Amino acid sequence: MKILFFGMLRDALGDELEVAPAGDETVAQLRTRLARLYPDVARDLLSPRIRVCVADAIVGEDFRLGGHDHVEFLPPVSGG
Amino acid sequence: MSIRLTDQPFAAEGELAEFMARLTGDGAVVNFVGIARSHSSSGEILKRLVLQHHPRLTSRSIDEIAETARKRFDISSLRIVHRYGPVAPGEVIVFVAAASKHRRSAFNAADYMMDRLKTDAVFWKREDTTSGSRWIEPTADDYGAREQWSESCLE
Repeated sequence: MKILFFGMLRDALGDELEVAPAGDETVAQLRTRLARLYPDVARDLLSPRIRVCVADAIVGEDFRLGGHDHVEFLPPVSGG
Repeated sequence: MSIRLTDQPFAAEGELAEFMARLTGDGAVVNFVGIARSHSSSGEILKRLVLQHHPRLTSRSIDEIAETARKRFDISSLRIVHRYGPVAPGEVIVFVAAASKHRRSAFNAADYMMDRLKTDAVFWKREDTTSGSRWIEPTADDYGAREQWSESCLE
């Protein structure tokens, strides 16, 4: 599964990460898994200000990621 | 409606001339040009602004702003050109223009589009200064400016 990052998360983690899919994990579980892997940015990865987007739609914490191969982490937008 | 995202510097004068050349029978054109400042919001010398965009959501957000302006104001045409990627101080970040029969609609449409772009356009903006980098978010003034266009007390 590919995780894509934007804004300040991209500075910290790069454009994208490839992680092994973990069954039918939820967004909340993915956040926790990534926060353990990257403790320096754990606070951001777990923050509700960072929204998670699948197939160009914002999804909630209970959304199940099974079957999806792209997940995006979107910090609050800056505007133009 | 003409909307363009570009990672290349562009001249606002050329955009205005091209926009005006296509008008037929309008009595007013209002345009706005946003330029990268020489100093950051905290007063440091700006090396560059970096506007990160999303491959689909950025253009979708700008399309929605333009479409709402078109429906809401009595304008005949509009143009938005927006940079992404690194932008040097002095370079144009955004060009917005609206044309209408009478001036008020064009003023309002341009004002509306800019207020929405400043808060709702999907960009992540970083100031790279001589003393470091900082990701920026819309200011309280930006949100206040957008709020004036709210049509519902529930929004």
